[in-house]
Amino acid sequence: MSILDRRRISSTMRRSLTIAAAAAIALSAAACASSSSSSGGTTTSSGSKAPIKVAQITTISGGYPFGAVVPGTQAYFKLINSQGGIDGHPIQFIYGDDKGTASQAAELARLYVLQDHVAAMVGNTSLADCNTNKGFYTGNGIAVIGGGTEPLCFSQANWDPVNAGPYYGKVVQWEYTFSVLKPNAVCEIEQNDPTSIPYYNQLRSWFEAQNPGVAAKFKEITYTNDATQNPTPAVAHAKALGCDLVELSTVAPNMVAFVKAAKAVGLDATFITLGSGYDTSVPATLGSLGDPGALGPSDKGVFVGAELAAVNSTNPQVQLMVNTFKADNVPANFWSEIGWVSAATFVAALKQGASKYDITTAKGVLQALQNMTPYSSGFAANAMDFGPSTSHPGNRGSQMVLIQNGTWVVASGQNAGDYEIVHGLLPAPGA
Amino acid sequence: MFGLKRVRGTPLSALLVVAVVILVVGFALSSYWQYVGAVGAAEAIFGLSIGLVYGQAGMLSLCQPAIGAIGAWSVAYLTGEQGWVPLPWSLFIGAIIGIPIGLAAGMPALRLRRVNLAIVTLGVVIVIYTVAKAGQVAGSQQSAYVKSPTFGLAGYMGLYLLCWLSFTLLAGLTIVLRRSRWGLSWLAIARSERAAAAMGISVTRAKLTAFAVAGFLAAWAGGLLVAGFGSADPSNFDPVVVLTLFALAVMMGAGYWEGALALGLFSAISSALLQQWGLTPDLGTALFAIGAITVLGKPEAAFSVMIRRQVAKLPWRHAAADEPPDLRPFSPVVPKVATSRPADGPDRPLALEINNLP
Amino acid sequence: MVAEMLAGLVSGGVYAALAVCIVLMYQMLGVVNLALGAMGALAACMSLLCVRWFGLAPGPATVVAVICGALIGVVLGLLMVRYFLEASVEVRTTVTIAITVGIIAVGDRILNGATYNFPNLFSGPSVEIFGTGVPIGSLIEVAAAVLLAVGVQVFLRRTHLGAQLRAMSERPITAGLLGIRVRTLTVAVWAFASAIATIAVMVVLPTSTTSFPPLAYLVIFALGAALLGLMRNMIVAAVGGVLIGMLQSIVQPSGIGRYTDAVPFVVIVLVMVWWRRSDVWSEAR
Repeated sequence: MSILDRRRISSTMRRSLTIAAAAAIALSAAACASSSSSSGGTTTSSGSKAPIKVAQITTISGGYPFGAVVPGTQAYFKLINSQGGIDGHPIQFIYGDDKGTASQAAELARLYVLQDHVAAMVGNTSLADCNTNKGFYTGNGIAVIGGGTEPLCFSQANWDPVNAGPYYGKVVQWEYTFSVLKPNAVCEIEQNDPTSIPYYNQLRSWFEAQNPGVAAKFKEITYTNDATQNPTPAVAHAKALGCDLVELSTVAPNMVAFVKAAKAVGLDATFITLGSGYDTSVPATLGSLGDPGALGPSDKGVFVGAELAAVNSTNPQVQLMVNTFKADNVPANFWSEIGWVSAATFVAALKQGASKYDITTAKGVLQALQNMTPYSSGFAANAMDFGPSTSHPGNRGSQMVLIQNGTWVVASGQNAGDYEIVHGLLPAPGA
Repeated sequence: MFGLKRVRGTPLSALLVVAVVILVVGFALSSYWQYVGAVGAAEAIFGLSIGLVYGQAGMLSLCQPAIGAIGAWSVAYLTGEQGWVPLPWSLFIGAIIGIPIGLAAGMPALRLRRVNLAIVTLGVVIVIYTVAKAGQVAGSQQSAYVKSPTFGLAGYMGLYLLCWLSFTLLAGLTIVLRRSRWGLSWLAIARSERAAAAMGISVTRAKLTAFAVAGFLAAWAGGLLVAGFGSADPSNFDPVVVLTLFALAVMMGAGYWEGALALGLFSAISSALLQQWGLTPDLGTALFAIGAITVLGKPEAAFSVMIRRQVAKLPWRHAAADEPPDLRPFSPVVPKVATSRPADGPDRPLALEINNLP
Repeated sequence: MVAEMLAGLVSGGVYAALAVCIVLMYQMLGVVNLALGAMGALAACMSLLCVRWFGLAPGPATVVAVICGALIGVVLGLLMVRYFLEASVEVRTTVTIAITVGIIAVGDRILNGATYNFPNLFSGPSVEIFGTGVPIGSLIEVAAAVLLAVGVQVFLRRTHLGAQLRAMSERPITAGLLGIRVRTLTVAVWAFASAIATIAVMVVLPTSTTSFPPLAYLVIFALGAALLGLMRNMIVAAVGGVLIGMLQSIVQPSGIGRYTDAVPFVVIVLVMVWWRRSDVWSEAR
């Protein structure tokens, strides 16, 4: 070896030690500096007993407007804490934004469970959480109550959605459409969500088998909608096909865009969407376009299957939420309702189990949830429960509402009073 | 096959020392930080991939991390859905499959350069993301679940071990390749293709080998992400994520392995700290963007370059003549031309060149 | 099919306007500004913040947004002029990539999916063409984009300032020596392009999106159109943008609809490989 090589050896050894030291210091320092943490917002109150730590992972930014779930959950916990907590235990709430990405969802889950030692996840409404963290929650015995957005949210042992979800919600939508609205040609424009397609198709076949004559009414079913795209081409296409009812499963801003595009293009059709389209600002944004007949004679209105009660319901529990939201400046929409109802169901179960289990630990919380008696939230067609089974289909109904004179009103003709429900259980995915 | 003349052990020993330290530190970390570190290793491997094509071979290709999708789908399918091949073998298979895809993505580089190549590779990123979202390719749905390997260790140490051993192996590969005929051909074409050809180096082969190896690296990293997250999520290959990684690679000088290491650690640790402090991850992204712009303006500011310069100044160093000859700024050296717009007609000889006008 | 094509005029006009700006910046400033969509989108977000915070009417909010767009252009133009005046096209384009990443990080904070009431520039009456209602606004928009292309070309060919710009683009150092204010003109072009991009993005804003990145990605489609004009001809780029908009609109509701975003890529690859087919060697000697 030449002299240069020998010198190079020592210089690279020095270099390597410097880099190794830097890397080790970086990792260790970061680890030590954050051995305990509080992230997002915290809701605490002074109590004599140990706090119950809960966390939430929600897709706040990233294209879907789930952000209101957080203040909805916070408002409920604040209310409970002001009443002394659950059996004297105050609730500590932290939350994080996963931006709809797997990496953030995975890291946040591990942060909250492994580092912060939370007892449960309450209010999770995320595009990535159910898929990414399924094994993690089951493996670590963590219970999750929240807003389900993917099939996996409805078929996991530890995940309990409080909404009907796209699957029950879809069947409810079909029930109402074909028994009450009775269209001639239906254009179903679904999200470009490959995880949902097989199950939707399965459910549709099941529904068609139970309701002869329905199959012929489906003019076209596409899975290409993306809430971030301009809906004008899809609407023009629907008009070319002669559809008089457009079925969507999208979020409120996108639905608004669809209706506006329909007006521009001259599509005369009724619009119906899942509960994700429920937002109290929609009637104001649409104005007169939302009223029945605004798009033409075939337009029976803009319908939404609100999976949780509309905010003008007279039910006292709903009104409690509305008044609390007003005081705390929380927007009232489907998402904040999910946050509220998730928290309410959680608190109800824990109150029931406070005497039997240690509800400050994950194990105790899971036991309390698995053994809870169903809780009438006042927001849904059926009572909420968690239960011990390997999947929790939750809410099996929706409240069909439509826009009239700038506000949401309960639609007529529903098969369970103010709600439309699915009688019995849906077939499981893949069955 | 590589035309390996002499395997210079010295940069490799540097890597080994660092690797040992990182692995030892891993045992002392909490389960959560082991997880964070593991994800950081995967990102560091993406850095190696970007650094190889851009830092060494001088080709402005933005799509390297997106090729990770191939590895991700392979692992998700082979290990998760079918259960045929366990980790880590499915990683290796996925990486092999990444080679032809990397080659295909590199084909435009035979005729396109610089900005034109950047545009086309940006298109490749979008295409891969569109395909990932459509979920029609085997392994791209999230129905299957891949469990993180434990190798009998507690917490996430198994995953940590897998990821950092992968990084060590692959960084070692890039160090070996850098001194081999392949690596030297990459450095040659980065400076001047004509000169390289005049020396008898096949420019086509140099470019294609660069893309092939980079495809291998990226696909391996993509497979590691599935080992960590459980399934192949399209959000990992979002254009913003890919471009952010590219910006980080520029900032850290990922053409050198220590730059890629810095990329991985910095990205993972900053993401974790932002989560802990309840701040939005967008803050980190904005920071990387500013860092990248700074380095583009001052190539000497790239992290790995700064490290090498600082080490060179240490008092126990011998004379400055020791400076490794391949120390150069991250952005490839392109001759300064007096025009601000590339000439798309026949080459015009320079009559006058003035620099640094106020 | 015709209905979908006409539905594509809205986005087609936007791509056309952005494509003209891309060609302009490439020809005059030697940079492929991949941040153009993001810049326009950020400024467009200012309009909705104005509506929300100050209760401005759509008209004034739009004006504020355009001014913001011009200011963003000025800031970035100054950055380029200060640090990257002598850098290569490649480095400058990479800088715009970093800028795009940074702006998306900021824009994501502003536009996060709530139902906003965007000022709608082109709502209003529709006209029936081949049985489909086409908003008059989108026809105006397409015409405006083509006029923009023509106007800019004429400006560059026929005016003194245009001649200065062309001189600057060919030989910036020489032009500087001759007394042409290179820095000022560079910043002015950035501001102009940014303002146009803001107007273009505001056209799609009301109907299209709940998140920020897709607005930034509009520039990719516009890039395909610019390449159709071989980065030289603005009128071809404008027409190309309209065509790409229509093509996208046909693909979107069809069976391969989920691959819509890949459409401009096909255009880009075909054009680039054909255009550069004789580039066997790089420039470096």
